[in-house]
Amino acid sequence: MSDELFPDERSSGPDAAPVAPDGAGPAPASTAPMTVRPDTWSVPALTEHVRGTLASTYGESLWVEGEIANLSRGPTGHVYFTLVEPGADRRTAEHTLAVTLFDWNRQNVNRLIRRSGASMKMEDGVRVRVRGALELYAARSTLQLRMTSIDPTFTLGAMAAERDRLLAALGAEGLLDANRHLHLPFLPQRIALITSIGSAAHADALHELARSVVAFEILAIDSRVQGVGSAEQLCLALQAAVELGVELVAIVRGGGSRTDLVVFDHEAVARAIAAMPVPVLAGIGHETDRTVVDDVCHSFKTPTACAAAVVELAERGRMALEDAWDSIVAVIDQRTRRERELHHRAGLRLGAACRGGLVRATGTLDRSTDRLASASRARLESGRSFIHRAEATLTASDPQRVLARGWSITRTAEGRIARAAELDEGAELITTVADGVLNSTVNTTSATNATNTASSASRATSFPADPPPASEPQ
Amino acid sequence: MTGPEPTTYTEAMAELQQILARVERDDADIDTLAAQVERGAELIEWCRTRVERAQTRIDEILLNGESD
Repeated sequence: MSDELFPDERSSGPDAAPVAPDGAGPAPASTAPMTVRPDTWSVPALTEHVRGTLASTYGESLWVEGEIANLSRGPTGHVYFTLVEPGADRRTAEHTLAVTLFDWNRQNVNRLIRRSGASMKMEDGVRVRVRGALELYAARSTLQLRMTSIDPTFTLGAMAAERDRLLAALGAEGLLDANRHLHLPFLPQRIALITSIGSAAHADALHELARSVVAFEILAIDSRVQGVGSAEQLCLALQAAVELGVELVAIVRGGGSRTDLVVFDHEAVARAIAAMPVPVLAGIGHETDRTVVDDVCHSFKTPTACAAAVVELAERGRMALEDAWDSIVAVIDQRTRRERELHHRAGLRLGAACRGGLVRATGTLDRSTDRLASASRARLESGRSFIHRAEATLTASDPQRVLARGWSITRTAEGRIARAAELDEGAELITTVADGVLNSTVNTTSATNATNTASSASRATSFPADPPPASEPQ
Repeated sequence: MTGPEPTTYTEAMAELQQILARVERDDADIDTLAAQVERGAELIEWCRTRVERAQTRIDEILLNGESD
């Protein structure tokens, strides 16, 4: 950026009014108009008189201070502007003074600026102290200053003084740290980038932001960052950022002369940033530049550094998020393992308990089966045993079995068991044997050791009725 | 079954215990002995089925729990 006060730009702006160079002045009009009354000035006479008065009052030159407005450059190298004293609202100016800087004086002014080492560029809004001759431009009846010199240190001093005043005022109102006290977003997702779109600073910031691993939405908001209307545009851009719902605002502007950055010392801009509801990061100028804006927000040396800070902020958020996630996973994993272990143990206990219960139930059923089988077998066996005994008893008592072994039963005709002592000779006897009945007659009797003399072939036999006799058949 | 199907394991076991008490008496009725033994065997089989089914289900549940 040029350090020259008035660079040689001849491509735009209105041309100068037709003023003669270097004090030559317009040709005086006739001082004795024919028709003028004694108590009345003619225009040329008045003009000439005023010009003389100015010269006698202010001398050949004087110093004037004011703020540059409506600066324009003519094709011939002349520069025109107005010195104004802004009102309290800094928008209107009740007092103005036209200034003309001819090309040959402009070169001298630039030499003074260079010699002073001041980094400044004259443009609207810059406060200057200039020297020149106060003249009347008769063709338009306007007062103008024909500038011949400048006090560069005044401009820088004025800027510094204004900056100090503004900083003190903001500090007294507690606005210096207002924006810095806002919490930076943990993981910014929507960012406003306020800059002059298409500028090198814009490109640098975008290039740096593109490095981010975290993808975020960048809403570029165009704004003038120097010259006429730049303060108003910056304020509007900040307001637009708020309306867009961004989480973070980055303001970037490349380097330039000290006066190029004057908008960032502007009170309205500083107050707008202090009132922002979201954090503002600024990367303005070069590393050595310092503006009021740098004191009311998160300040970074350059646009690239500002964008890098946004990237780092997002990266820190991402890392913190990943760490948090890792912690959550670890806690969940530990908890899950513990729960699984508890479940496993509970399952084992449950299984053991259930199996124990089922084994006991099975045992009970097995024993029941055994009891049922053994009890029924025992009962059947006892039944069988009883029957067997009964059968044996009955069998043993059956007379037929005795008869089969050769025994016989002899009864009287009346059916009584024959007894020798009771029988007489000739008595009829009926003898039952195994395979039939024999009829016989008693020949002799003998009460003891009786000898059967019966004529029948049967043998007289006596035996008890019950139980059967144990004697062998005779 | 020779008798009504039990509704619960407990009910089946109660009836089985009664049958065991009857058949284990010395003067158990021979005429009804076979019928009681048959009923008892049926009840035992019914209970065994219940136990096996419970065992299978528990094993399934616990096996699934292990594999989760």
